[in-house]
Amino acid sequence: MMQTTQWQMILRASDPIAHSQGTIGNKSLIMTKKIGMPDGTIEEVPYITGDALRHGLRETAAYATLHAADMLDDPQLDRGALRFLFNGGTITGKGDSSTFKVDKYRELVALFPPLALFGGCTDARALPGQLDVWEGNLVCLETMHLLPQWVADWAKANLRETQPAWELVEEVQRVRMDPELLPEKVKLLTEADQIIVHNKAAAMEVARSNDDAIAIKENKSGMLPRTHERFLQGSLFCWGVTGRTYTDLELDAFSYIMACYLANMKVGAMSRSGHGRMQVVEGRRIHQEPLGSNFDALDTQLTAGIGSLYRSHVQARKDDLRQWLTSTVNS
Amino acid sequence: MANEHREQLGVVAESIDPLHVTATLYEGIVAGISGGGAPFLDSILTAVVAIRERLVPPSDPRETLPIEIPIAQSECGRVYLCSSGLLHVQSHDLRHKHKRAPCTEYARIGAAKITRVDQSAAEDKSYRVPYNYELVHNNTVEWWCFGDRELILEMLRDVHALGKFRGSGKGRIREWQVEICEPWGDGFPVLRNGEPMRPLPLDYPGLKEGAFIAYHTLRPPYYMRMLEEPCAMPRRL
Repeated sequence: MMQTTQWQMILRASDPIAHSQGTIGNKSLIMTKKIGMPDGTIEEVPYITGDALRHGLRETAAYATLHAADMLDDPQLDRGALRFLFNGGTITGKGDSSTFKVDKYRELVALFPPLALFGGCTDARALPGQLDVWEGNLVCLETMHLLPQWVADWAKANLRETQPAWELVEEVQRVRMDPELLPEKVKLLTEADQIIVHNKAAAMEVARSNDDAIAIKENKSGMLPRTHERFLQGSLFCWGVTGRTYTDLELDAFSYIMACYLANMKVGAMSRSGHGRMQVVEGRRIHQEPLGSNFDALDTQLTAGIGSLYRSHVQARKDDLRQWLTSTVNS
Repeated sequence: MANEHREQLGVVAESIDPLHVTATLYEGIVAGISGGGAPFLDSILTAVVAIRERLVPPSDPRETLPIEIPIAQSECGRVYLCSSGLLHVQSHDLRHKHKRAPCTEYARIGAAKITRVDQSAAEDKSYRVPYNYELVHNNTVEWWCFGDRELILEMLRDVHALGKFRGSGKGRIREWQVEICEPWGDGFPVLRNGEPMRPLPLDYPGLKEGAFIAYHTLRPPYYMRMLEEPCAMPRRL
């Protein structure tokens, strides 16, 4: 039976979040969007794109499935399989898109249930997914009217003050150091290279004293200071996922993927240098039924039992899954 | 799941009333579908039936199945009696869709035979496609139709977002409203003062001369360009 399940949650940034839309020179700008305010004006506020969050879920689904099939030790995946798992694949132009092989689709969904949830391109056809992933909206003054009522109530009850969006963004500077400027690193070079480095430093001194712009440019070091905007550590976001499932297996897969993602959630860039971790503060799971909805607290749903059906399903088909993912996948 | 032959798909209207349907959005919408504008109400309801029956979206006219929806049809049976979606764009935002080859994964868990990834051509080509994200006045999209209020409202409960890129949070719906309304007169809801309120056949009764003509499909699935024909089109707002 078809059922729609929606997860809504408040996330806290355990680390600063670096999520950029582009750069100007060596300044990286935070991702922003326009939102309509209740008074009819338009404001530009920073946010996390639904694409980034959806990709995080897709990647989690791929690794969780490979793990359940004992494939992570020696995956040896085909190119098409990798594209299919990690970016939804592409229409290759090979094959006949005018004839849709329903049996093949059923077979693929049985082998890899996230295909139904996330959609993807396979066998010359783009198949829609069943998950609608929300954008990560900052909990701030400007977005208060866009948040679900329980989130607005929670903010009112738990926050001493709701900040304007741009108070939750900071600009920081990082420097990529040039090792040739550090004497102890220069000593590691060959003798010939040490001479080149010393000559370059001497030429720079002369250029500076002569105020010779061309020579300064030619001899300048590779040190790169750059700045980036990021969300403050501790910022709160409202996020949700709406999923349509048709079987117990799909619902279990959806819940398991959500649990895996939320257990180790990372968003945005610079995750290797202390950015991107997020954690759930409060959440709701909502079952939407034809004549009403019922609500559960999120924490009661992410128990150890989640995913057992999904994992045993994948485990039972792991040989077929390995064979498919290591063969030539048309995606 | 399969597009197999069934006796009847969908639901038939039990009562017909003039209706005003309103979708209130949380934020913006990517509405650049079918030559611009909001999605058609008849296509939304057809999609609900397809989703409930788990049909695969057809890519060829041969794959389409007759689907019943609780909206009345014109006497000629060529169009549903519902207007195009009406929205007033308040502000645009140019955004981009990115797709990148999974290079790290190629190196980490790909087969040993993968030695080179060409990101400038073929399947691994990276792309950055612009699209227009629109904020609409009052966050509302409106339609007018002749249909069964209760059945339409029940079906719209399964529609949580409108437009393109719903999967990544665009076009989220806060609320649906379906109200019985007063028709504006002859031609309701597909003609107003002789002007088309949706794509109509050129010989549609009551159509004023001089309407803007363009190729369009008359019935869902509207994206199927093979079914396009010359139509009298509503004016863009």
